[in-house]
Amino acid sequence: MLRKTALASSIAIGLLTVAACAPGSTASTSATTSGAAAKPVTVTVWHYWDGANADTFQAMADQYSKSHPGVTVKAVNIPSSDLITKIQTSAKTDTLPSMAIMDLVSVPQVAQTGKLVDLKPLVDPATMSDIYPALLDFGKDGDKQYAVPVSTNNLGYMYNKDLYKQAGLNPDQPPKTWEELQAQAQQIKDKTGKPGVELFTQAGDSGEGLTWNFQVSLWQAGGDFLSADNKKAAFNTPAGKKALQFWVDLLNKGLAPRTQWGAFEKGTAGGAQEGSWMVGIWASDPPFDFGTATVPYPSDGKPATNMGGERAVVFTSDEATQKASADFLTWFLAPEQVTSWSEKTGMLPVRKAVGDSDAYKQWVSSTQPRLQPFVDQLATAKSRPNTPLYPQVSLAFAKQIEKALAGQVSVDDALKAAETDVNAALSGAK
Amino acid sequence: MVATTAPTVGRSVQEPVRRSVRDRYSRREVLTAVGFLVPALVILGTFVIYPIVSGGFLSLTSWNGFGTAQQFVGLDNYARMLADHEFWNSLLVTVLYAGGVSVLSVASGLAIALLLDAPLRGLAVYRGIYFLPVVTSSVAAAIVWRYMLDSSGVLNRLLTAIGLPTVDWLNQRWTALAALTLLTVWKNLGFNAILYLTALQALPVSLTEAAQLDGATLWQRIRWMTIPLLRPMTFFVVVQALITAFQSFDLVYVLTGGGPTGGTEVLGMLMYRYAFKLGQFGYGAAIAFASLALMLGVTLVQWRATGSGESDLA
Amino acid sequence: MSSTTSRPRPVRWGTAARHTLLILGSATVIVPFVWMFLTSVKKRSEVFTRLWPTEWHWENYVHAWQAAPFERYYLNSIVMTVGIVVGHLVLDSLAAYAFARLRFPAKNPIFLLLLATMMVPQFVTIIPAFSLVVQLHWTDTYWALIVPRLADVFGIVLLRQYFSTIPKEIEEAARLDGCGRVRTFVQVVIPLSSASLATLAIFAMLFAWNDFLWPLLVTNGDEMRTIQIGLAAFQGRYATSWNYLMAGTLTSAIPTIVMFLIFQRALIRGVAGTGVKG
Repeated sequence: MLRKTALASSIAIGLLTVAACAPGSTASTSATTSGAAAKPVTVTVWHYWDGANADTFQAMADQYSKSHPGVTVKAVNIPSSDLITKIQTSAKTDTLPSMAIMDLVSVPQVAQTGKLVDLKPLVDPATMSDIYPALLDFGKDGDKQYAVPVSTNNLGYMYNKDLYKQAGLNPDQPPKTWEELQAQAQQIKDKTGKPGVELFTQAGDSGEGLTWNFQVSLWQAGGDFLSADNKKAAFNTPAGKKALQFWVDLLNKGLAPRTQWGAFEKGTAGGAQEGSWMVGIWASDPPFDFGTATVPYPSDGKPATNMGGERAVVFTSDEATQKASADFLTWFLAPEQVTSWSEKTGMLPVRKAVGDSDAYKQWVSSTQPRLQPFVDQLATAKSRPNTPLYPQVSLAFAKQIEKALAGQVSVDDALKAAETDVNAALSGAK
Repeated sequence: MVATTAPTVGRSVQEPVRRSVRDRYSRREVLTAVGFLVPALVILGTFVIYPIVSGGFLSLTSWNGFGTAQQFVGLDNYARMLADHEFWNSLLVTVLYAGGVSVLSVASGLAIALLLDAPLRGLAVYRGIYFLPVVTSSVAAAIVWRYMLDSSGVLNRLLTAIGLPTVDWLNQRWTALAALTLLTVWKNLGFNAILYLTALQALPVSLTEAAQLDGATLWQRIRWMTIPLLRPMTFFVVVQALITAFQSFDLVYVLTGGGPTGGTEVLGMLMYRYAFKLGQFGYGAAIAFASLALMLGVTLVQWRATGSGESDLA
Repeated sequence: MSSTTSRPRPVRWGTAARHTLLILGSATVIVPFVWMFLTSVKKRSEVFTRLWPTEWHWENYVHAWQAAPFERYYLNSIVMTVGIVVGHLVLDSLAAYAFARLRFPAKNPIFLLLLATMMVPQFVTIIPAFSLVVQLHWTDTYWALIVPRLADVFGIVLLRQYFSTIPKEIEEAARLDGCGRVRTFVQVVIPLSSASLATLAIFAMLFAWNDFLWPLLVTNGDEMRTIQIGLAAFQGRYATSWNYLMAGTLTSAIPTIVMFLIFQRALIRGVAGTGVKG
């Protein structure tokens, strides 16, 4: 509904500004005349949000356009699996939009277009310094900041309370450690015949599903994924072996199914590592009674989780459009908007001023208590390596690890092969 | 492909041995041909052939799909391909897949077309039903089958009900490939049946009637009359099946994502991943051209084998 | 249908066997569609957990329809599809006739070259093709959606094959009557080929209606988007709305099913009426 009214208004405005047809590019009418400041500017934003997220973003774009005469923010949804393809083709033909909002791991790749604007001088410094530091890693290149976080999430532990009850477990006591997780999974298996936990066991088309889930266990066991300079694999260590062995054991004992991802969602597995976004999606219409917890970690290890979410980038165009884009970003990151975005979408706040505020904490505990563990994890969330080679690395890693998970090779051999392939990918040989 | 009626070999262009171009072609006819061809060739030349040439150039570069730099690397991408075990795995998977899809497409398409090619109550309904998968999006079709083939899905429940052991279809290498093959055939069944049906309907009825009078059984008629007469269409169906198999992407993407452990990683999937997911456009294009060469080879062999060549290119 | 009464051959058994086989085959088609339909009326939480919905959520269809400006998408899809189908029927049949009947230099090489282009995956050509469209300033126009796909090799190969099965004598008779090539083509060949043209129209329509990547690349907003882009939006980044996706898929397939039902008459009867048989 929201989109439809937005359509009407964007058509009207589109008639005024040719820029709507040639988004972002230098063809924008506002740039061609000297009195640019007075000319209306259209900021076109590509994003892959859908459903409630898209509606919320659209409403916020409209709100900004209304309160900022002369600037129109036009939000365009691109189906998520093709956003990068579209950016690729547009970069090649100089038809990029003013801005794009994308998955954080895509940022280093998109930066290779050479068409990202350094946002450091454009976005309010006070806003920047209030963002959780780990979130700023991606898109940082030396002193420049090519991407700014607009939304974040992380992986927590979600479990099926109905199955817990059937297994005679206390549905309010999710596992805190790997040992507890294993014991509970065993009990669920014994009592209900269903696996107690689900793991991401297949590389699939990008490998990332497996890789980013496994990184959590790796970090918890005290390991690292890549060396600090992102030049070498760092996971073939005792910590890496411990993490992989933990997964392999769960699978070998039948406590986790060797199937495509989805068993937990179908109600046929006791628990799984799931993203915070699932809380919002399931809250209104849950498939079963589900609980959330921080991700269990080894009793001699440390808590950790993997951070996801979206980053905004601004593409080079005329100065007026770049400035207007950055201004919209600053506005979007103001505490008021961050709060409203987080509460409406269930995404986690990117700013300390919001995440640490009593008002937000109160909202979580009263409205969405299942988000609490995810908010708590903001402090221990780590981010994936900031390198344009990450997609290759992730896939190379997953391709080898899935063999160990399938029981085809040993833990040691899989890690060794993964190390070789990942190093090859990092050296650009693959 | 002309064999359904009298072959036109008699007017083969090769026949007049050494005559000048002026003699071999009537000027008027050539002009007419140009007029007939130009509209289509302008479109195809601009939007198909030029982009292919352009893509062929990309396969000789290390273009990453994002930057503006297109470093020329000669045949490096092709050399890398020969050493890439993922490419070889993918090639094996694709060849098996393409073989399965071709054979089953011909068999199922022909079978359904034969069943539909005679008056029968409710024919239109059957035709409509068999066409449903063709009009449905690949994504929707693949997700339905993924659900039905699930370890606790409909198919396994059926197997249990009749006392057979269940199969974890999508999580084992060979069954996953078999499932993918069957899904592809299922999706295009209506398409192939229609192609065969139109071909069957164009067959001269007098021939089969004569054979009936001679006391030929149904199977004999099909085996010795219909199938040979349908050869040109079979060629077409096989070429289509090959193209489908070698370019298959969205069905695989949704059904298995290429897994388990690369068991269904067809070339289409591999190309897409390199070009768009991993930003190795040049390498992806090189794989595309290798698969093109392979497909062309198979097609030409088949062209010869079915005898399509002589009658066709007359 | 009346033939069953007069013929002495064992048609009855044959009919029963044919029905049995056809019904068995139909079941493999129907079952997945029943599942799609059931999914389309479920609430989200029951999509994977229940086979039969506890409540029937017909409003899913309304939701799916409202999730995007689908009226506009339908219109765009229809305009694009009609343009492409007409283009294929005209351009493909002209070219196919030249390949089937006319003699001109380099005929075989050109034909084989075209055949080869069918085997090049779309993704290799899509970026260069897109660059062209941008240089022509066609993005966000119907030109971009239609013109690059006005002709296709599949149609040319298909029609060429049908055209060459038409007995030459029919054409030669017409030409003796003083018809030129063009008139022979329009007045003799085309009417004789209604079945094959219908087949091509069906396939061209399917291709155009279900195409996704090209329309996505050449359009930048709701004004020019087509149905498949709207449907893809149901497969979200964070979760896929299977119920809406199935509702949208089923409704979006209706136009193609209707068109198929219309064309299939031409396809079957057309042949019977050509005089080619017998």
